Amino acid sequence: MTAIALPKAGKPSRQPGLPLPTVDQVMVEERAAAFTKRSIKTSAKLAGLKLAVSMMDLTTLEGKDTPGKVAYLCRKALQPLDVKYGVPPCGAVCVYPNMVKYARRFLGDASPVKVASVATGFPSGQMPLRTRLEETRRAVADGADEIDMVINRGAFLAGDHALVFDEIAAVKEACGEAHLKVILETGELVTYDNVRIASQLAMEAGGDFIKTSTGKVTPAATMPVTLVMLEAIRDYFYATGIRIGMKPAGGIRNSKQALHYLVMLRETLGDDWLTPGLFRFGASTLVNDVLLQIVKTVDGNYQSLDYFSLP
Amino acid sequence: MKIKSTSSRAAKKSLRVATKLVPSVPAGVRALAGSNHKPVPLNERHLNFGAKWDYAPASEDYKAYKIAPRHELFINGKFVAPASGKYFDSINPATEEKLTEIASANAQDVDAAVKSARRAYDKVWSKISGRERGKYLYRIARIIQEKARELAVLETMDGGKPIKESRDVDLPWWRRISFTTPAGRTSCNMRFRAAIRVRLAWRGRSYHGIFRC
Repeated sequence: MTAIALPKAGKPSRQPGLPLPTVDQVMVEERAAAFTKRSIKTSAKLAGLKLAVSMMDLTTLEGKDTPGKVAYLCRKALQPLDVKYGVPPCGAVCVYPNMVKYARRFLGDASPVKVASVATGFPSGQMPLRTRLEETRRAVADGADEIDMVINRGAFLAGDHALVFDEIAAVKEACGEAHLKVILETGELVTYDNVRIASQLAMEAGGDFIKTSTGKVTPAATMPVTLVMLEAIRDYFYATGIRIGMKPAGGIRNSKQALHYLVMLRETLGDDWLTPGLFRFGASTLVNDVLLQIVKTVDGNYQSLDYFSLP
Repeated sequence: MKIKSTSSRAAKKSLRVATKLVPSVPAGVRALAGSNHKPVPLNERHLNFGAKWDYAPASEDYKAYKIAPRHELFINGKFVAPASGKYFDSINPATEEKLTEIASANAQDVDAAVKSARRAYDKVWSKISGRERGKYLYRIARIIQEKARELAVLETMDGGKPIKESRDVDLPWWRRISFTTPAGRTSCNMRFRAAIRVRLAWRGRSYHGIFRC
């Protein structure tokens, strides 16, 4: 696990140091696989799917985004399906900073759907700190409720955890009232130990959510990685009493996987985290599969995907 | 809606209607998502594993199983009462309810059992061919396999180990033991022959299965 010049045990230098355990890879992978074996049918499945929709962050992070696309996405988030299915609105829409004002304009000030903006040089983060902070401030001023920042992976992997910590703290300050999600980009961190260290770092530095990945790098979110992060959140809660949220992003393609994640969440952190305030799915194609399954459970047959609006 | 879009008036109207249908936050309050920032005091830091989202009932539901009120000793091919006449209770550790009474064997019963086992081995079991023995063992394994789920539930109820262990570890283990067969002979299950040959070459003697009574 150790690279060339890591400080000892990867302890962030600013904090008195919550204990930082290493991760048992075999156990984590086995336990994550065990969560896929639960029997979830009929009413439990419908409840789980509706919960998953309420936790969805509809995402559009493309170069070809336009205000119209964002408006369309907001409309879908507000009411994903016909009223008779009783599906709640989605958790948030996630867009680039330039699009935040259009999303805010469409949704209005008081909306159950939040506006999340990626910031700090998404997805690579290889921008000067000054521009990253300015981007954050502008996104918040335009009306973002949440900011998804990326950490400085180069510095992290080189062992400069203090710098990573300081940057997260600076972005948190720039956020002001908005909530901060810290994207760890677990695909680039590679090892579970790194993921654990990064999660703890992000929580101690002031993040409100920790998020697995940008979705632009494979592998994105996997169940073992998410489990490592959930356990970090649990230990942090026991140590400090603060509940931090979690968001797996990318790599979740169908509702079966979404339900596996919800099972994992429920069995690791319990009922208090089963709410969009503390757990989100970062997905674009997932929502249609979940809606398809809801329609199937309620109506009894599958519709063609043509009957669902484009993700 | 201030976005200049080319959608028709009807579409705009339907959009306005739609947004009213969803529950809205009071005006002027932008409720923000995120964590509970007020730290929970130390004595309240519990994880709450409640019934907010209950799964479907498991297929291994224990209430359906009817267990005989009393179980005797199996000696010499018959169920016989224990010599001392004593029985002990088997309790389900999860619910502390009594499952059944099991015969308590003393030295006399053990002697009888060992005698009959020795007689059975000398007179019958050692005399029949490996292939025949294999048939018996395979049949037993097959019956265990058919009743695997029930046996796993009973094992869990009796001992208290999680169903995951009894179903996924114990039952396959019991089945596998009964597949070992005499050296070099055919058994009904050809797949195990190669593995057994290696094992026997190492051991230099033969297995005769564990069911001798």
